[in-house]
Amino acid sequence: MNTQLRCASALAAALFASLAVAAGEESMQLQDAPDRDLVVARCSVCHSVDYVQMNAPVLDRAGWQKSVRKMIDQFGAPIGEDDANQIIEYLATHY
Amino acid sequence: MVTRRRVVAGSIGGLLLSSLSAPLTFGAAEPDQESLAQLPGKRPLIKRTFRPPNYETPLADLRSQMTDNDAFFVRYHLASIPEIDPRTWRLRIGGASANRTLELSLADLKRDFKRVHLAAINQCSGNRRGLFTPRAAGVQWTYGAMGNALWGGVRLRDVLNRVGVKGDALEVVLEGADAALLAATPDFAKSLPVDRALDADTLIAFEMNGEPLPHWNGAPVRLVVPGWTATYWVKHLTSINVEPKAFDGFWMKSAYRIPTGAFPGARFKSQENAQTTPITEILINSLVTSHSNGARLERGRAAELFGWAWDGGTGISTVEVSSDEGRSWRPAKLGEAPSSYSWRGFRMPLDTAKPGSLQIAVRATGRNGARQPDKLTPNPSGYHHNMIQTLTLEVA
Repeated sequence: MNTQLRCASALAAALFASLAVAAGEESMQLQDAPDRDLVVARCSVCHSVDYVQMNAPVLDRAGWQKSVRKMIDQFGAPIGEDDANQIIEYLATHY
Repeated sequence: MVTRRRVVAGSIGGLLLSSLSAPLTFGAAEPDQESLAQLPGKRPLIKRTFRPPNYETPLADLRSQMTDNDAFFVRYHLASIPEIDPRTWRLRIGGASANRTLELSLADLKRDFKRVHLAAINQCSGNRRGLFTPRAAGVQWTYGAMGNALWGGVRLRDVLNRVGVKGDALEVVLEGADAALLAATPDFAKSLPVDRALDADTLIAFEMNGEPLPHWNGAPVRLVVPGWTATYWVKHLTSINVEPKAFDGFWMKSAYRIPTGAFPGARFKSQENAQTTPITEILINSLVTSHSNGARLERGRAAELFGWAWDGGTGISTVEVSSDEGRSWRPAKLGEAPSSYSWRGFRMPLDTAKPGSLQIAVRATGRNGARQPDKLTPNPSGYHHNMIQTLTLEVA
């Protein structure tokens, strides 16, 4: 696990331990695959990951790309280019 | 958390009834799984997302004339939702097109203005988005991002007249206490055309069905814009500003927009451009609440179809039911409506004499002649789903 992923995992754990997480939310799990912890860490800053599961039947790769760009460009998510590309790759492959 | 599977008889009905002459589609796609979960103060509702909380009212809780407060749907864009102490809450009114500013407590609102009650549908712009074809991204609501309630409060007009509305006023901007977790995320704020803000039916509400507003529905005070979709019904209201120019917030300029000219309804001209315009009025619609698609009926046993019809405030004139895929229609018996903004009940006996499938369709017509369409008008955000509802019921 690289440093970035370790940070992401730590952030995810901290989020789930904090009051910002809604009751029941911690029971949800995204599909186990490389970059899952990164996705959870970045996306969970603002919303529960059921947004991913809910939109899975709706979004293809281009749709996920648009959605992630919207989070960054319009909602101000502090996600760099490399992380954004990894997140899009994970979502497009597994959802 | 309880998980239940939706009945999937709809697809079977669609296969059996692929008649070329049928104008209506049966067995439209529906989300295949629903999870119930409970927010504090609410009964179990269909959980769409935990955070921000988006919870939909199950069909079984939409059968009463007024939707119960603890069953009413919950919809938020942003996840910071403060518990507000009604004793310290203040509403600030002002803006560049107001003659003065004013700060009101809840006690001031209750004491200094005429009390008004109005029954009205509160319906999310994206209600039924999850049933859209082609699919549209966003919260995948089915039928229950709506409810009917008796709202109690004061007229926004009376409060605006207290600060004095200047002649150059164009829009009234409304903000609530809910906020984003990141400073860079656009805060939720909406605007109304000044004439809609000054309409006698636009309320600053602090009661819902005779009780204080529930936390998840905007306590202590929310806006009520009867006939317009719920995006304008700003919850946890904290400020009202009368302005001489079009408000350029994200939730007006980029979100809650439909293709210009694609739908009927009031125009919000100061926010309109050649491509898109804000969603405004609720379109005519109806919902069967007595049965869900695929329900079974006992042969020979009396059964009745029941549900609601509503529009953006014109009022419902007729509801018709077809049991032959839309070839012929019979008028249903209508109930009373407590106001033209409320839904109106309809009922129709079902023929259970013969075994087999009943292909039921329902369409409402308004007093203005508007009628539910048999096709959806595609739009990127999946708004205004008011297509004629079809159900396959099995008599056995």
